[in-house]
Amino acid sequence: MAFSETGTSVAFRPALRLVEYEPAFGPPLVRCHRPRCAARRAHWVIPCSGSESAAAFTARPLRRRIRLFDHPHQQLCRVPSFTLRFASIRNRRRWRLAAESTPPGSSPRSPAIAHPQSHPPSWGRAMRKPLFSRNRKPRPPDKRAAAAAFRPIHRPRLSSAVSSKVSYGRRGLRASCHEDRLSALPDDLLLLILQRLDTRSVLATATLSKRWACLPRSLDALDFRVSDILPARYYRCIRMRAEADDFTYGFAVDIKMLRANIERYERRAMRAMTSSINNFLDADADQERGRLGLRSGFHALTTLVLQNLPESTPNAAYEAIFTLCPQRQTLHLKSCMLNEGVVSIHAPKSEIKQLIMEHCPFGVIKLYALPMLESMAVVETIVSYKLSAFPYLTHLNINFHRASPLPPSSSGRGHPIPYLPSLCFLFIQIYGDGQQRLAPPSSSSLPPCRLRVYHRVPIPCPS
Amino acid sequence: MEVDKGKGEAEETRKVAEADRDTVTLKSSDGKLFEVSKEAAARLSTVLAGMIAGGSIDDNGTDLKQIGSEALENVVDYCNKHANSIPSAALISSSISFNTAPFKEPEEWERKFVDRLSHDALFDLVEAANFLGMERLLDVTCHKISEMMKGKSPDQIREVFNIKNDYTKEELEEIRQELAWAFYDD
Repeated sequence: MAFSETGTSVAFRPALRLVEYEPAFGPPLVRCHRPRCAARRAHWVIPCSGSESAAAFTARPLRRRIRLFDHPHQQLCRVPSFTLRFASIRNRRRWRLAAESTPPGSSPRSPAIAHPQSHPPSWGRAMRKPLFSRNRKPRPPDKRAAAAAFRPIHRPRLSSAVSSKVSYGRRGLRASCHEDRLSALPDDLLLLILQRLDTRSVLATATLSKRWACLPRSLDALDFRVSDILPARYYRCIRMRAEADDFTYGFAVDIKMLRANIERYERRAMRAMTSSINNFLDADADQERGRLGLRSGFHALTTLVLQNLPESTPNAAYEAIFTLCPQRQTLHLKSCMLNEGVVSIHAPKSEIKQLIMEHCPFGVIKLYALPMLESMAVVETIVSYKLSAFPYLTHLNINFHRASPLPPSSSGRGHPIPYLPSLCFLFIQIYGDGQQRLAPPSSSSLPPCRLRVYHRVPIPCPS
Repeated sequence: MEVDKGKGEAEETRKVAEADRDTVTLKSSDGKLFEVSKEAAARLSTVLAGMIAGGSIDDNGTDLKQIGSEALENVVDYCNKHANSIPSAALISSSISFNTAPFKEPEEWERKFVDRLSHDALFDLVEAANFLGMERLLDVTCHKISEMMKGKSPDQIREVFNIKNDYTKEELEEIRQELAWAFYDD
């Protein structure tokens, strides 16, 4: 089993920290002094440059940092956006949060990019013609666009951003048979497909089925742009305002009203963006804490056998295997080349009941906490542990070569044979032709009952 | 003795001829044989390039047990077409996607090539391309699938690809809450 196959779904969460902020993406935001600014309290001033101020920000909790970009009163037509770059398996432990000011009105392409689906087909035509002609004909070409400028903003019915009017009635595209070929593809192919979609569509795919739940988070980057959710009406208002400056409509347009509408759209979109991103990251944090198993890749996985992993597998990967996947009960590491160093396992929440480590040379596995562990087998692997860390351990199987140092498994009594009240089956095998003989444990070092020393116990092996 | 020598010479010439052959024969899972030019195969597929370099190409047809004949036919078709096509400037155009690694837009003939495929053939081709390590073909087919998903609601995607919704109502509600960004519409 190559590790990369599981790796994408084991979902390595990056350490959530701000790696770099690039001032080049836009002017730093400043504190808002407007009396009715909704994001006033949540707003922080971005450091212009300098590593020390950036470092100060990395210490803040993430939500604060997100709110750096909450500012609703960007100059008109300058809506901020930023990109969350997540560390994926390819690009681990590196992500960045970048602020960017995109002027959607000034760039002719950006609205089309941001709204590939949400513009109605008539939108383009409406843009080219002036909404009001000079002679003030009573009926403008686009009734809704004109009306929107004058009436207070209404809340339209909710419809998903990804629902579209694009029809896809090509022949042969429907699945002919009743099997799901798409979900059957491996993760990396699905990610190849997903990275071609825009962020909102990608996030929406997480609701397809449980198979898809963790995929959007495995992508390298997610792009949150306010311009993605600014409604078409907003752009219409922007356009009308620009035209009104040239007196295209004479004095028919109330510029103050238009401006108020534009600001309201921006404010509302900014609020929505803030809360959505906070929701998104909160869920991420929940997952990190292991509260919800819904989005972890292998939430239903109970048995995992890793065999012949190459030396290049980072130790952090092994550690992640223990801490992620809350449901797993059996873990079997077989002939995995640990690279030099210590794999320290501290997983107080793990449910692992059975742990088998065999023939994993060149490294030390340190077990600190595996509270639910019931049986453990160690074959030719250097494992360091304190048995007091495993309160429920009942089966223990230790094999070691005479030449190698005795496993430091003693419970502090100076004898390699462990002492543990709950232990009822113990099997120790020492092989090799060394001179040293292991003295049989004195009866005082063993608990009075339930312990059969040198009892040969086959620990059930997952097939 | 002379006969032996003659035999050896013949063998030698045959080997030289083999080495000079500019096609490789591929055998699908159901035993059909396909020929593809060695140069195109080595250029487009990392796996075939490795096999050619390693000399594990069988003269009587290299067994590709994982690939059905239809998919292999498409693969060979693609290789041949690719050899004939001239790379255009569109290949270099960068994407508007957020992803760090910009992928190349498929060319016109590649679009047509995947457009004519049926649903199952498309997925067979994706799997074959993945197996053979054909990055370009993988790009093109994945692009096609992403186009099929583009602009669709989750319900529509489920319908097109026959994806079964295994969420409970509560889970779906929860995940929609988390991914409010995708569902926000004003």
